[in-house]
Amino acid sequence: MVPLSYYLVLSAILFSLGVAGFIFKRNLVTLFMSVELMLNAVNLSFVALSYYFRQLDGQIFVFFVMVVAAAEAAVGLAIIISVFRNRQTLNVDEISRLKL
Amino acid sequence: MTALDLAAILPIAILTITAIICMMMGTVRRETAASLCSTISLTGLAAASAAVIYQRSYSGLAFVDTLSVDPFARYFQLLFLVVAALVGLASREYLWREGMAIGEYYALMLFATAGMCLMAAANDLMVIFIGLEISSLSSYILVGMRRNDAASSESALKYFLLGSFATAFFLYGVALLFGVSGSTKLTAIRAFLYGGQNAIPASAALGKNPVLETVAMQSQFGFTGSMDLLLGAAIALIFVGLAFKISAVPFQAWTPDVYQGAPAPVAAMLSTAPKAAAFAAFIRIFMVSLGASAAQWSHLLWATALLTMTVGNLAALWQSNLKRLLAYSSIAHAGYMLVAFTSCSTDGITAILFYLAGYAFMNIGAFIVVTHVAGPGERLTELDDYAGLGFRSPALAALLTIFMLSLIGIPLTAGFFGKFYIFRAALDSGLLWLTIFGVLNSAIAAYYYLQILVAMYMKQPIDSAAPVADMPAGARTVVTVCAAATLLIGIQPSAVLRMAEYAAQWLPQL
Repeated sequence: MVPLSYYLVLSAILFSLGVAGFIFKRNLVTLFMSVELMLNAVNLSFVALSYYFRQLDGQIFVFFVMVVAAAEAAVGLAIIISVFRNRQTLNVDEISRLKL
Repeated sequence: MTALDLAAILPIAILTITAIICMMMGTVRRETAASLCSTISLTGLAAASAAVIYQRSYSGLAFVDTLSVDPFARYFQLLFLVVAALVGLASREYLWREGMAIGEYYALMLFATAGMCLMAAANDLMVIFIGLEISSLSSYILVGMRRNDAASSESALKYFLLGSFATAFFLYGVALLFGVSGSTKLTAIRAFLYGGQNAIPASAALGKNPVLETVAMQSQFGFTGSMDLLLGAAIALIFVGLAFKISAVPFQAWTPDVYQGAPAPVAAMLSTAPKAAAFAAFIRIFMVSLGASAAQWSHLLWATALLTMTVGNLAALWQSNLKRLLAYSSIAHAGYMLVAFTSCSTDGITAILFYLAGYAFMNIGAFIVVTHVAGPGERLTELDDYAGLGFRSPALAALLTIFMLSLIGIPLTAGFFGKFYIFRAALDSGLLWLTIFGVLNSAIAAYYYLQILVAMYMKQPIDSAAPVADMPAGARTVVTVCAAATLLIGIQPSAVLRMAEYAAQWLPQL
């Protein structure tokens, strides 16, 4: 039997990987995948906790998160396409017409 | 479904249905859609407001404790509906001028409003998350709606990436809080954190599984320290997620880029309604469920408030683009509201609610004037484009002056009483230094607002400057309403203040 803490630690590691990917990667699609990784790390926490508490709430939240992630993918990819049409690049460093 | 459930969901349902009707209008001829969509959405918003007012005779928790019917939610919902109505009316001619998709614009605006209403009324972290995502996803699209404009799609991209990044943090915080308390219901978390009673009793929940029971014993009794750690991490993550949404420093980097690239009426909405919705969620989560750990997060809030005001104001000093300047000013105003939040008192919350209402009117007014002066394609948004506006278009300049004076906080405008109540609440709670920094900050802020007035009234217009066209009817109505409301709240604040007080009193005391 795998203890709960293992799941939570794995989820924390996956979440941190997502954050690191978001900060260090330069390709838009990779950034987007990093965010998805973060959301799925959270899902793992929800499922593990839900199993531990022996209640279904956490499992249901995962469905909600998955639906939201799907909606986010639809909107996000559409925005990425519209940026690509205007700029012909997917590198975040080159997409900086607005000054910081 | 009980009558209470129906009352709780009615405004949101009306908004959603209206949004779907508007979306279908996108398929009919553009001329027909243009005239119909704004009428339909305004009717929907009016009906939703009526539904919110009808809610008054109900109170309690609806839908298995996930939605709360209370004055606090109603205050925010009315605010969102008014903001949506003002922005919707003002953008009617703008959409036509810029050749944007009209049905989709109104549909997304109404969806965003529905999401925000859901956030304000939620009593469950998961419902707050869903509301946040409904409003955020709609706003991402709204920001990028000028598809062929590189700046617009770039700002949509920045908003989307950083917004979803922040949402992931918020969600992780929710998961950890669920792990600590065994529930995502705000009231259940409150009961747990105050009473130390897990929503799911460990023995009953785990049944007869000996291995799991050992795990439970360890984490529930063996390592109480690790539970505190988990709670601390949950609070920090939720704080980060929401700080992004209210664009508090150090999570403000997206704001200027997004406001500059977004269509100006959309920026008007983004700077008011979603920010207010994030504040509603912020106040509700921290006051209702995390009140027991106020000692942990009030320091965090203190530092964030100070940084947000100062960075927002100092950065605004260097801006020459009006949309960017207003973006930094909106960061600074979020800082003032955080000062009131730091006081954690009913007076402080009242001050935030009052400020949000006054700020909505003055900021939308300012943005709509900027929209109009910018002209087709939104080219004229630099400070130099305002040179001599006071002579070229006296009425427009006078209106912008009212909004700027109110943003500074000059007496007889809404901004004055907003700041007055905020700093009074902060002083009453013994936040002397924060109040001093806040007042100093308001003085710094006066510089860049006055800069605009100087440009309008004391500089000669550039010879090549085209005369400003007459304002279209919709935008004119909105600007007049905003100016009247700004002055009215500034002269007679008691009506709005009473509503804000009534809403704030509903929240539990710390």
